[in-house]
Order: sequence, then structure tokens, then C-alpha cells
Amino acid sequence: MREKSNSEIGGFDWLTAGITFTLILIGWGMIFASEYQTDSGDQLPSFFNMSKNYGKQFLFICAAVVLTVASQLLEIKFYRAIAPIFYGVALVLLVAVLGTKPVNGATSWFSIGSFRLQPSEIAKVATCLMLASFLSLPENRFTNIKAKIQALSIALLPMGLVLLQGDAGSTFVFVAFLLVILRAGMDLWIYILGSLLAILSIAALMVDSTEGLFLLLVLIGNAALIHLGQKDRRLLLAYAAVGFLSYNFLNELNYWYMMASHGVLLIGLLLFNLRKNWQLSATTLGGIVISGLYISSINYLFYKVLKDYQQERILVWLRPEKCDPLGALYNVDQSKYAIGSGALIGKGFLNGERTKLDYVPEQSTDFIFCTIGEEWGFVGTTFVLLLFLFLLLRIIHLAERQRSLFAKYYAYGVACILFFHIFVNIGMTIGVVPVIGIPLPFFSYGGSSLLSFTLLIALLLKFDSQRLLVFR
Amino acid sequence: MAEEKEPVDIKNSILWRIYVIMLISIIGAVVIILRIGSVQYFEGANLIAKSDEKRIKKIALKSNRGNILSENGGLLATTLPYYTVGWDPKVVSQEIFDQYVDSLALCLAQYIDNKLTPGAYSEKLREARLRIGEGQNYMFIRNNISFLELEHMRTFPIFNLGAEKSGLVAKQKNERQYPFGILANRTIGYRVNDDWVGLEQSFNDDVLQGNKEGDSIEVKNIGNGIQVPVEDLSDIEPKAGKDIVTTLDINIQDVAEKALMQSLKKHRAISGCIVVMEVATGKIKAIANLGTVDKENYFEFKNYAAGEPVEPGSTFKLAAMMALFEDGYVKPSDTINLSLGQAKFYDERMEDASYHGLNQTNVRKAFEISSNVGVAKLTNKYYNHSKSAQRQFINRLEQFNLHKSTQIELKGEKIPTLGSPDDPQKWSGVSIPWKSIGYEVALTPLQLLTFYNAVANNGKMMKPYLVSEIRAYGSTEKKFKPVVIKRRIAKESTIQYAKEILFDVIQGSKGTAKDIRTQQYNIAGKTGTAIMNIKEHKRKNVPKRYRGSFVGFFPAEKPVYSCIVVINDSESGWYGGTVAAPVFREVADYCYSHNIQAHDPINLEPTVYTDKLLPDAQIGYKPELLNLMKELNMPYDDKSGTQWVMGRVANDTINLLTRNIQQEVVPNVKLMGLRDAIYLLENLGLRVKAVGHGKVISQNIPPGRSIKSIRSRTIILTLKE
Repeated sequence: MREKSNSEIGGFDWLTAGITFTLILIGWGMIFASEYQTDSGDQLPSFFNMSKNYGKQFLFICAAVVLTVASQLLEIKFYRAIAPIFYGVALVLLVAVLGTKPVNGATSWFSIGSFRLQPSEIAKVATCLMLASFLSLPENRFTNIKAKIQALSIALLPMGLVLLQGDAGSTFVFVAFLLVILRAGMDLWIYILGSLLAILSIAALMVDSTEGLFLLLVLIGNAALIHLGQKDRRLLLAYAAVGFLSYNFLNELNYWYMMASHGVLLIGLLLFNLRKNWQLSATTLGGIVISGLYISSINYLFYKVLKDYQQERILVWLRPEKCDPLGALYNVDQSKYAIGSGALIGKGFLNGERTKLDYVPEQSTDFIFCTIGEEWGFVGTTFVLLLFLFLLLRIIHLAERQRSLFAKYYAYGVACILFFHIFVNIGMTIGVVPVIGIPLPFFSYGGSSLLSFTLLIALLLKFDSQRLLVFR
Repeated sequence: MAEEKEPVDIKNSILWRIYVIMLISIIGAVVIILRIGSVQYFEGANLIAKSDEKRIKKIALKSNRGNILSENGGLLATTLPYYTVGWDPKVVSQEIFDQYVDSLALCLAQYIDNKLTPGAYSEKLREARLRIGEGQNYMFIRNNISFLELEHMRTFPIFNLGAEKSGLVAKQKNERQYPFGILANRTIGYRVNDDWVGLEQSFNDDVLQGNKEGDSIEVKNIGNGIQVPVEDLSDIEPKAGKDIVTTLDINIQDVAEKALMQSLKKHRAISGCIVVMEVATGKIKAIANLGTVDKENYFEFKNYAAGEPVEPGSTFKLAAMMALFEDGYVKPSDTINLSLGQAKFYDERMEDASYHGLNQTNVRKAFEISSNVGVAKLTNKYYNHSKSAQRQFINRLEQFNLHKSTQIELKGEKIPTLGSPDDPQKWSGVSIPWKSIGYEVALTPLQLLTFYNAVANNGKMMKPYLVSEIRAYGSTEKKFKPVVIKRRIAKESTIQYAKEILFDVIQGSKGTAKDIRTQQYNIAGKTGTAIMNIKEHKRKNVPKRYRGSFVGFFPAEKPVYSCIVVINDSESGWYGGTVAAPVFREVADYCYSHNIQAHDPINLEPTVYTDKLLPDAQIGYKPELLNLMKELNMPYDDKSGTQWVMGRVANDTINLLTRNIQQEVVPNVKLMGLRDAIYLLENLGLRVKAVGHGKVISQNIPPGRSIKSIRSRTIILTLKE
């Protein structure tokens, strides 16, 4: 195999590598900017000051380059073979880290001197490989339920362990693998059900009183019965109008009248449909009852199960009016202000006042996007986003051109992980998603995350370079 | 490797799955880009403004209010923290709660709220714990507990885990406290509605309050709950309230207030006041203002002493008499016809307060018995014959500074009213005689006292003052020294006459205040019995209402304190000599017995040194002796030229005489202390043996002998006490 030329076996994808490296370099500059202080004089401080995050990040970048080169030396077969072992090691580390001292309320770090290792980052790579390896085996086609459960377990096991660490952000990232499993053929209804639960949870948390939601459930139930049972579009439209009005003019005085009238209609419809189509009636009734119970219990679960800071983060997202602007809301507000203050073209490199004055906490790690927003403006943020989007599309393109299922699922895994990180991280800085501390790939300061993201890409590039070879 | 192409029949399924994933990515990207666009492009400026608004916050500067101290440092007014205490039931862990809830309930029931039994308290705590999440987070425990009580609470089970773990919440508020209660309360001041009165008001701005109400500082939030001041945006600095030290002596105040209270209650009077002033300085040592609405309970709520000008009555006669003395019209020994205490000026009848049966007598006696007729006749004779004479009388009163306010530090002092002959509305032919006996003029008790104090102080009028010092952060920032209003209000002879006639009011056989005479020391003063409603009384014959007063100083010969007592509208007693003078006496007795300055001079002359203190012919080493003399403040006269000297007691000093010590020769060490003797002899090369203790009375080798000739090199000294 060695004697084959690169072009014959696929070749190294310099484009992907180039984009990645560009992102890493921009990220380094941003870390520098977010730590740069005006009072250090006219002299620009050295980029390589090891007591600063940007200095350490330089070391991490060097390490990432070494890791990338090293990873190219091994064959795809090796990675595939080692995937279960790697995955096992990652699980052991995840369990072991639970025994360490908590940092910021989460036990997700091994401290080695001044450097800290985050096993959940390793677990991401390991799970990605393991899942790809599992899904690529023919006996694991999703025709049997066992394979489905196994596939879900591979993703959910490390996710559960990370959740135990109290690291909600990294936990959330493992959801990305569910998309890979969807791609591999998992039933869609599970995803729809999951999404519905999420929507119900959000809705229940967004209102002060859940009474309105119960009415809404009845209205939706009625609409569903009319639509599916009666198949009469005019009737549906009429009912939709009545329902809309009822919901809009809902208040404490008329609540029970509305509930009673629509409830009677629901019972009528259920009975009417019971004879022709009992499944529909049962499903609707079951849906309403289960949703109702879920809504009633979600508040209790929210306040009982989640820790204070986790509740706060979700409330900041869903109910900002309930939060203290100088407390829980502070991060998101300041982050939005920093990004907003960049306006169209930004204030220029190292000129971000909010960045320099440390208005936004964690600005070299989770909130690094603020620096881009403030100093480079809309133009800069769009550029970075387009780079990311281009990278993602490129990875999907790479995925689809793989002939090995292992490489293909692996590529999807990489794309999904990156997508989740980018979407959640940037989303939280502008208040689109709740603040969960996950890094922005290639940008955020931190060795574990930089190395794991580079490794993800590096392995993909290795697999891609061997895509033709494997087919043979 | 068992790679396998996916079957064609599921190709469609694969495709839409890819589409779903792509769709999610693209929706995500679009949402993000749109949102960023909106944040950066449309909301940019708006957000910056909002950021500053939220980040920069005004924080009210609340200073600790300064204390008000008595002259000797007692706290007259201070600010203490009080706490409202509550408990956040969700903080403590279930385990600890279950284990200690009953012990905590026991402590709370025992120390904090004994209306509840420990069981009931325990129930209450458990209930609060059960109701977590129902909105109400805190369980109220108690209001207004002191710092010490709070510290005690912090030792209770559960609460001793600290605020973070126990949920004990204490909210601080500061409350102004007046440890001496009613004492000088109106003068020290307090808060009425939204304003202060008394010294609390006068020294509120810039002194006691520190930062003004409403002063605030702008801070910016730099995250993690840390706030730093925004520089240059406000020039207000946080500052603590400063302390003021008053001239009030809390002991004299106590005696004065109690004596006044007693008299008010005894005579069921409506109100009264007393002021004690230090003659030489004008320092107010005590000031009490008591009033009542029910004649049972008396409070300090109105500033009678400094705030309300009233017709003083007979106490004003001193001013009239001094005017007559000053102009040389009258001497105390001059004779005068009192016409049995009845006189008529124009159509106005005037009579003396009580029948005295005196016709022909002298001015001195007339004043002693406080004859209205006598004083009025004199002033009428000399000051009522012409407009210029009338003006002269008013000029004299102005010369005594009776037309000016005292500028005391309390707000609301009014200017005295003396009237003017050029004001026909308020002037009549009988104004002079009436003014001379203290009607148709109005001045505050404090203003009158200031005048009397000037007489006591040999004509030097001192400004009365209440605050001697402002202290900031424990050290003196400003000292207020005694202020002289007028070097000399009258001729020396006038002052002398004034003192004489005041002396007779107490010491004279018919003196109106002879009842307060004491063997211990002499009081000089004047009673006053004014009819408060004299005009109404004359017109409508309504019952008279009396203002009894006494103003004077003591000891008469060398006054240390002056004092005025005014008692308004009493139901019994009425006369100044009966209702007010005894109060004066009580205060004077206390001051006299407790103040060394008020005593006759005993042992206060410069100390005379006799040989009892310093034995004659003491011999010693000069530097040490000089140190000793300086330490003891002994006068000495150094006539010596040597290191060793002998002291000789002269009349009022000690002469230090030369004591020659020659080398090689045995010195005379007689009368020296052993230490000096040994020092001296051993320096010369001799060994010393001493017998006995005390001073050297003999030496076995006589002075003058050559040391070299002593074989044994030993000298034996005999010492004796």
C-alpha cells in the first residue's frame, strides 16, 4: 500500500486543513485580544508570554500540529480496530474524574500541574469513533431493536457520565450523536417525540401558570380530532378561529367556562370517533393526558432536580425578565452588548473597550465570540460564521464521498459535534440558546478542546486520504 | 473489512435523512446570522446605551452618623445597628435540619421569642421548611435585635454553621440612640418627621451626617458581583459622619433636669427651663427644657431656653438699675420713696408684688425687695422726661447687648424686642417704667442669662456655646474657643454696684430669694415674677398666670457658674423665689460640691517647698538632681559650677551650691545617699564598706586626706535613716 501515490488513494484534503488552521489562528488572535490590556503600554506584549492564556494557547497549537502529523502515520484500520479500546479508556476516565475535587461546581477536570485535562473532550472523539465503528458493521443494521438500543447506548453512556460530573454543556454536545444515529436509520418518531417533550418543557417553563397550556392542549386535541377524524377542512378552520379567539381572550374569570366548553367538545369528539377509529381517540386522549401530567410535573422537576445555577441559566434564556440584570442575566446581557457595540465593521483589533475592560466574564474561553463581535463587527462575525459553515458543508461533502461506512459515519459525527458546538456557543452569546459552557471550536482557549477538535479533523483527513484505498 | 453498499431500496430514506440534517444545519446558521445581524446592525447603539445603564449603577452613600458627646466624653447621641433577622429554610441540608431543629427551636424560644414554646417553634421551623418553593422564601424571626443578640443567635445550633450554610439572614438598619434619654434631649436633638432639631440639626450638614441624604456614587459592575467606582464621574467621596463634643456636663445636666422636673411637678407648672453656664467661658454646662400637656408627664419637646423670647419681669430690673448706675443718676445707697408700694404713671397704676410697708428707703433695699414702684419711679424720673432720655435708656440696654441674639448654635433663636421711642405704635408714656420692670420687652432666658453672666464675669460678655469640638475619625478637626461678645458692657463701678445689689437679693434680710441662702457659699441673683397675661389681666380681669424665674451666679465673690431657671404658668408658688430659686439652689449646691473651682481657695496657691519635702543640705550628682527637680516642678537656682552639688532651701527656691570633689583627696560624702557615695569613692579608687542604711552620717577617713596615703584603700561609711 505504501507504494501507492497519494492521488491514487485519495490524497490529503488541504482545503479542510487550511480552513481549520485559519480558524485556529484567528482564534489565537482573539484570545490575545481578549487578554490584552491597554495599561501594558504602547509596546505590544509578546504573543508568547506563557503566564497568559494566549501564550499557553500557542503551545496548544504547536501540540495540535504535532498531533495532526502524528495521526496521519497510522492507518484507518488501526483506528477502527482501536475504537472500542479507546472508547473503553474514555469511559474509565469519565468515571475516574468523578472522584476529583469539583472546580466551579463540576467534577470534569484532571489537574496535572497547571494544565488541566477534560476527559469529556477525549470521550467525544472516542464516542465518535466507536459509534462509527458500530454503525458500519452490517449486523448492526437498524432492522433489529437490539442494534438500535446498542447504538443509542454508545452515545448515551458517556453522556450520562458527563451529566453526573455536573457539566451540562458537554452533556448537551452528546445529543449531536443522535443526529448521526438518525442518519444511520433510527426511527424518526423517537426524535419527534423528543422534540415535542422539549417544546412542552420550554412552554411550561416560559409561563407563570400552566392553566393556559392545559387549554391549549385541549384545543390542539380537538383540532387533531377534527382534522384526522372529521376530515373537514372548513370545520377545522372554523374551530381554529374559535380556538384562537378563546386562547387570546383567556383570563382568570372565564378560564373555567372556556375549559368546560372546549372540554365538552373534546369528550364529544372522542366518543364520536371512538366507534370509527378508536386508535385516534385513544392516541389523542393519551397524548393530552400524558402532556398534561408532564406539564404539571415539569416545574417541580425543574426546581427539584436542577442545581441553582442550572436553573438560573435556563431562566436567563426563557424568562430574562425574571432575572437580576446584575446577577444571572449579567453574562448574556454584557455579551450581547459587547457584540452589539461592534456594529457593522467593529472597533478594530485590540480596540474593543468592553473586551479590554473585562465586562464579559470568561471572554477567552466560552465567550470568545464577543471579542470577534466587538472588534470586527458584523463583517467579522459573518466571515467567521461563513468559514464555519463552509467547513461543515465541506465535512458533509467529505462524508458523502467516503466509501467506507466507518469513515462516513465518523465524518457525520464530526460534523454534528462541530455543528452543536458552534450553534450552542454562538447562540448563547447572543441569547438564542441558554448559557451552557461549551467552547467555540478552534477559538476558545483551552488545550483539551483544541486538541480534541483538531484530532477529530485530523482523523477525518486521514480517513479521507485513504478513501479509495479502502474500497479496494 | 466488511464494507457494503447500502441497498438501493432505502436510498430515498437515506436522502431525506441527509436533507433533515442539512436543513437543521442551515436553519441553525440562518438563525444565528440573522440574530447577529440584528444585534450588531440594528440594535448596536441601543444596546451600548443599555449596557452602560445596567452596568453603571448609582449606589447611595450612607455614612454612619457622627456621635454627640458630653464634655467628658459620654455618649449623648450615637447610632447603633439593629437587625431584622429571618431564616431561609431551603439552605440547610435535610440531615442537619432533622438533627438540630429541636435544639434550635429551644434556643429561639428561650432567647428570642418566649411567646412560643420550643415545641411550637419547632413546628414553625418545620412548616417553613415544608413550604419551600411556595414563593415566600424567608421565615421572619425577629425585629430590632442588637448586635450582641445577633452574635448570640449565631451560636445557636444550625445558625452556627454561618450564613452560607444555615440560611440565617440578618438585615441591618441603623438607629439613633440617646443613652441619657430625656437629658438635654431637645438641645441634643432628635428626628422629627424628616428633619432634625437641636444640635442634630445645627450640625447635621457637613458634620454629623457625613454624606448627604441622596449622595450617591456611580459604580460599574465588572462581573462576578464586583463593583468598582467610576472615577471622575462624581466628586462625592464616601465620608463618615464626624463627632461633636458638647460643653454639656452630664452630671450637672442630670441634677438640673431632675430639680426642674421636681419643681414643675410640685407646682403643676406648664413648662420650664434651666440653663447653667460657665462664667469665664460661656460654655453651657446644662440646658433643660421641660413641658407638659397633662401636668403629669414632662418631656423635652420645645426649646424654651433659647427659642422663645418672653417678658422676663423683675429679673430685667438689673438692666434698668445698671443703666441708672452707668449714667451716674443713682447709687445703691441713694434714698428713694417707695410710697408704700403704690404708684401711678399717667393713668396706669403700678404696685409692688406684695405689701412691704416701706416708704423711705434706699435703692439697694428697693432692689432687694424687688420693688416695681422703686425701679419704675427711678427710670421714669431719669429716662421719661424727653424723647432723647427715652432713647438714652434704650441705648443703655443696647450697650448691655440686650438687643442682640446670642448666636447660640441652635437654630431658631429670635432677636430680643426692646422697643423704640421712635415707634409710636408700640411706645407709650408708660413704656419706660414698664420696660424697666421687665414688661414690654421680650428676650429668651438664654439671652438674659448671657447678660447676667457678663455681670458675673466683671463686664466681659461671653458668647454662650454648646459645641467645643468637632472630631473626625477620632481626632480633633476643629476646636471652638470661648468667644467674647463684648469686652466690657459697663463701667467697673456699675458692675460693682450690680453685684452688690444682686448679692442682697439673697443675703439681705428682706431679700426675695433669702430662702436659698446657704452657709457654704454665697449666691448673687435676682428673682422674677412676671404676669404672663398682664394685658389681658388688666383689661378683662382674667386670673393671673405667673412666670417665676431666678437668675444669678455663684459663688458671688468669684463666680464660676451662672444659671437661669424659668418656670411658666404654675398652679402654686408663683413667685420666682418660691418656684425657681430652689431649683437654682439645688444645682448650685451640686456644682459647688463637685467643682473645685467653685471652692474658696484652699491649698491652691503655688506649692511651697519646705525642708520637709526636700531635706536641706541634700548632696548629690547635679544632672540627676536637676532631672528630679524638673520632674517635680520644683523651683531651683543653680549657683554651682560643678558636677556635685548641695541643695540649700531658700525662701521659695532651692539653691544648688558648689560641692568640690578633688582628685586624689578623700571627699566629704556625709549626707549623701549610699549610691552616690559609692559611685564617687570607687571612682577615686577606694573600696566602700557600708554599715546601716539611709544617708551617710559619718566616714572613718576624714575628708581632705590624700587617697594615696590610705593603705587599705577601704573606707567605712556609717549610714542612718
